[in-house]
Amino acid sequence: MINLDTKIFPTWCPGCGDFGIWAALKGALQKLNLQTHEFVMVYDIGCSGNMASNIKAYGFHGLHGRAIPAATGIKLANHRQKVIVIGGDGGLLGEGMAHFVSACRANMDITVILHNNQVYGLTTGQSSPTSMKGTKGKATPLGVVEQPVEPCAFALLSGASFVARTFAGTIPESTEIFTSAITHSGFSLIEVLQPCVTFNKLNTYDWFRQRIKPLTQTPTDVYEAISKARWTDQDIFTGIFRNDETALPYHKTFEILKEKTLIQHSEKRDLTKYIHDWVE
Amino acid sequence: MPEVFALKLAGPAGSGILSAGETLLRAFVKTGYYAQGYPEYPSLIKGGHNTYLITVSENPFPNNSPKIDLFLALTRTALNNEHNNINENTQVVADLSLKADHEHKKLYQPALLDIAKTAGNPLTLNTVMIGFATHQLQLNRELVWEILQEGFGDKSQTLLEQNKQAFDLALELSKQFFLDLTLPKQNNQNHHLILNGSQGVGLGAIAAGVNLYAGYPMTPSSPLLHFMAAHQTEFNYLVRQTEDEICAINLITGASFAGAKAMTGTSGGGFALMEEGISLAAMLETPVVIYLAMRPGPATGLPTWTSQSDLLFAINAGHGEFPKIVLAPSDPTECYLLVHCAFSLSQTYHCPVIILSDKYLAENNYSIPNLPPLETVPLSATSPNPKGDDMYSRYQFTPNGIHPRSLPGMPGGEYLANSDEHDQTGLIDESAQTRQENNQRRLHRLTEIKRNIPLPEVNGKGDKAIISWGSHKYIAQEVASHLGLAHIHFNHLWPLPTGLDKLLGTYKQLISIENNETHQLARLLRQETGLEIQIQLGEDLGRPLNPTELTTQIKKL
Repeated sequence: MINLDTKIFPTWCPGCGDFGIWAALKGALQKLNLQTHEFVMVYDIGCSGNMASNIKAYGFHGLHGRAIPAATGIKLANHRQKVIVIGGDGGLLGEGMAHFVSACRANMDITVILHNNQVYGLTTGQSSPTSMKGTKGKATPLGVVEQPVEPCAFALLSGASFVARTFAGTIPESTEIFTSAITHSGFSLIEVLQPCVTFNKLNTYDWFRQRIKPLTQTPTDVYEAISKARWTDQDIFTGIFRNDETALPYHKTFEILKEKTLIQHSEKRDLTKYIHDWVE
Repeated sequence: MPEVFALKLAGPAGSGILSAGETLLRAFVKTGYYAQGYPEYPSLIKGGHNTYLITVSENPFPNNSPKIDLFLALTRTALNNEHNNINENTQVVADLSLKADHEHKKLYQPALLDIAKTAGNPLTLNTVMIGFATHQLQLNRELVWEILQEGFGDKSQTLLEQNKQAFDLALELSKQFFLDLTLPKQNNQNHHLILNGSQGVGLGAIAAGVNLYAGYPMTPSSPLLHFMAAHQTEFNYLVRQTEDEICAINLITGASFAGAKAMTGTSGGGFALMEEGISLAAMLETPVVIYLAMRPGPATGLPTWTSQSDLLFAINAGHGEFPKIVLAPSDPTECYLLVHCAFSLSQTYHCPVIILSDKYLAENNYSIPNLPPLETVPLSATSPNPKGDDMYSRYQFTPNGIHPRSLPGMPGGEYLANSDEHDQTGLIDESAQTRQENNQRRLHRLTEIKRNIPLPEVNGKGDKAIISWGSHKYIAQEVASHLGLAHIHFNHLWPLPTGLDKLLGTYKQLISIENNETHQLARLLRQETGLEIQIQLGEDLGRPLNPTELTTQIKKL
């Protein structure tokens, strides 16, 4: 089994949901038997992104909200690499929302593991795009006015071909879903319900355990998937809402990427007709 | 015979002014003249006031002539707007239907619109103008028609026939008018290529072996985006129009990390959005090339006009302290060579390289000599020897601060490209010692680069010199030549080369000419050399500076 640990142990708070995600991710990578040079981890900024120093592999720890553009660039440069994004609700759905939608629309062949803790943890407790209405954060002491973003429903509506939800507290299930997502060809989103034990006193492990229900079967179409993906006061479904292997990923639409990766196109270019005499 | 001859076409957007101008420009150059063509237009799609100025000269690289010899106006607005550029010798041609002022002494009013109607399509009006001008300018009609036809591409046969009729009728009509025009000598023996700066940049990138170009539309950088997109299939690279400029810079940084030669392009506002990404690329020591085509700001400013007001912005772009390189080509040949050089420098020094252009250079069509073929820029990455279970020391200390990088896919090369301060393998390390070592290692590269940057080009002798940069080379050159002064021109703007203080120190008086209000190069030179530029000239009106006015201004001092 490959060793994925670095010399640095995670700095997350004891009990943080990120530990469960870390364990499940390593489990999935080991199950897939990927070598450490066969995939690239792209990390956003935040508690989730701090996983960057805890996985031994090629890694790219970029800017807050901008993990998806970097992952897209890596995938386009060398589509033989598996590209996995680790990010939170703040980065990916706040500053990074335009990139999130764009990658779904393109069905970009990357796997996005969204650590949804409904709070900005690393910056010590402000409300996030997925905070529930009325949540009081350090910067919203009067309570959140906005409707929360629903990443799964949003991704489904935007064309993502693999959309799933899992819970940080159930590592075997998360491992299973991560494995399917990484294997999937096309954009895959896994929203992981990730309790923040320090700054989110509402959406706790217990709170989730009372509401989580596993999907009994994969919805037959996008509309059913969206309706199952939405949270209700009583139910939050986990499992795979959509897994469409027929949807063509972005890079497969390009003739030049059929035989070679983009970076393998390193041949000298003959520009004679443009640099001698007349240009069109 | 005059040294220069200028022809201006003016009419509303959508009437084919730009394509008519380009056709005539090509005809001039193919006939053996040196010529350049510059379009000006407001930020709108239909209507308004578009112009195309062709300056024909007996010398290479003519500047926009302030004096118009032949003016072809399609509308009353065109006549009104160009009033100041018309003098008593200007031959003015306006359609018969226009109520033209009789103050134009040399006014000719052929029934141009009627010809377009006879040809069965009012949109042939630009062809009518070309036909009329072809006779007056003594251009070969077969040659002009051939160029015109190329421009139609595979449009319909009917359209082609309508235009042919319009062209022939206009040419015949033109014979009834006797305009007083004298053209310069046909001295052009070696300029057989017509390119604008955008095309020069694009060709340089393609020659360097660009794999990926990502960008968001913004004038005046969009012509490059279009050029790159149009040629991607032919040369096996990809172009992605991103959702914003922030995506573009982060996307190319990711691509470069994975081994692609990657580039983006934008203008001032978009560049502002990219700054955090530029800082990231520098921290990760990942090569990126960024094309910045300047236009006047602040804010939206004058979207379709020109300016040199982002020099210090480009040099200081991005938070934190890190090495970067800023190059500013002065013509399409230099665009081609310096963009190729930008890829090479970014691969060598693992840092961002910015190419600074502006609307004037980006859209001005120059006649230039053929360009030399160039080799593909080699990728700076080496497959490491796997060493046990450790991660790769990609950021290990070396005397020049640069350590070979590995690429995803290379066994044993695993490292973390980390935006946080990091140890040699990229893992987070916030200790003061690591911070100091790493920060100094990154910055040390500037010293290395300075030693390898060429000194500015110096032409002419004397103890007084004109100083210029980027697109304003030939404008400054004209001023220097009128006044008999030396001319120092900068195309490497950051870092400035070692030995510059010595070079500048030999002059008694330095006069800077820049297309901005705050004399940014003069300030930069003082900052870096301690030398004061005694006379600082320039303004930012959206138009390139006028060498005649500058000459007069300097004479009066």
